[in-house]
Amino acid sequence: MRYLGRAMLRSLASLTDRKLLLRASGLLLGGALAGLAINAARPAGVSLAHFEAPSTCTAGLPHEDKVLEISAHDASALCGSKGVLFADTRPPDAFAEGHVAGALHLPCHGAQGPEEGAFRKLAEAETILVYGASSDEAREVAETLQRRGLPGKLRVLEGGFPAWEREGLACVSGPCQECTYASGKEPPRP
Amino acid sequence: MSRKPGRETFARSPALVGLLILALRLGLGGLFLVAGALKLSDPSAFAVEIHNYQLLPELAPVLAAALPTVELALGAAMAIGPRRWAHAGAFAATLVLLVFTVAVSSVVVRGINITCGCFGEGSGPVTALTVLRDIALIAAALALTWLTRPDAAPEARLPTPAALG
Repeated sequence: MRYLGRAMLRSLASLTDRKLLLRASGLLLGGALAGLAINAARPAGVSLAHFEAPSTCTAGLPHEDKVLEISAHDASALCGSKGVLFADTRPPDAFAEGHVAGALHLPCHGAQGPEEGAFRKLAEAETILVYGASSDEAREVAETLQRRGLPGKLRVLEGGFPAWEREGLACVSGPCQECTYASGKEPPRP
Repeated sequence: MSRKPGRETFARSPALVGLLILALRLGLGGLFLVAGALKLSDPSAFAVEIHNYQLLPELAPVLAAALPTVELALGAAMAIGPRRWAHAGAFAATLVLLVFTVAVSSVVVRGINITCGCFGEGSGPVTALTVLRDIALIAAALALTWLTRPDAAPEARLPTPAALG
């Protein structure tokens, strides 16, 4: 016990060593400054001025809240159901050639009106089925819509519009009534 | 009063003391290096984890940027630095671990369910075991600080089998 006591006293005495304090401070400060410099230099660094913590918990989302893919056959069962909205991400010319009957054309761009109108319809839907020329294209848009806080369930049509056409499911042709010209712009925040 | 032979043997056995110092330097230094590297890989996620502690949320991005490299510096000093820098690194690590323990304890006391962020994303939730683990690390850092102090006996080299035998 006496030995331990002497050891502790010696240890405490060493803590008042100025060189120790200087070296320890140097390590802490040098490390911190290096970290801030690396953070400023790297593209994936955290923004010091504009950092916003997420306001919703995104970890462990229930299965139903994730963007799932559904087949054209399953999607056709939803057609015409109350609260279900099909959203087409393709350019206007592809939309005009043929689209799911009643689908909303997402890349609408023009005056403020068409975009806001499209987003209002999306916000009112309980289930939004997004489709494009491929699943990947639609998934990207669907995840963007989810991040923008749309309340409805988001689904992606597996295989895109080509899969819908292959199944011979209902579609119509004709330009988007609300569009004025082509655009790939993302819909505005709600 | 006679001393117990076991304690005297340890204190006067450079080989055992040297082994202990080596174990503490590599163990604690390695732990800090790994923790720092994992946090450095995703600073944004680490900033969210710091924010979740709800202690100084406005400092979360600054801490997320600075803390990983602080850990790397301390880890390198303890693991491979000269003895006086290992001593300083262990002392600084003790202070850093004290701050971590206070933060983690406050989370447990307030009943906040968050991930620790101790080893980057996916570190696991903060529980009482996390607090106990941090206390054990403080003890290790204190021991290393004491063993590497300037007036301590010089570190033994890696002991030969004859010395151990």
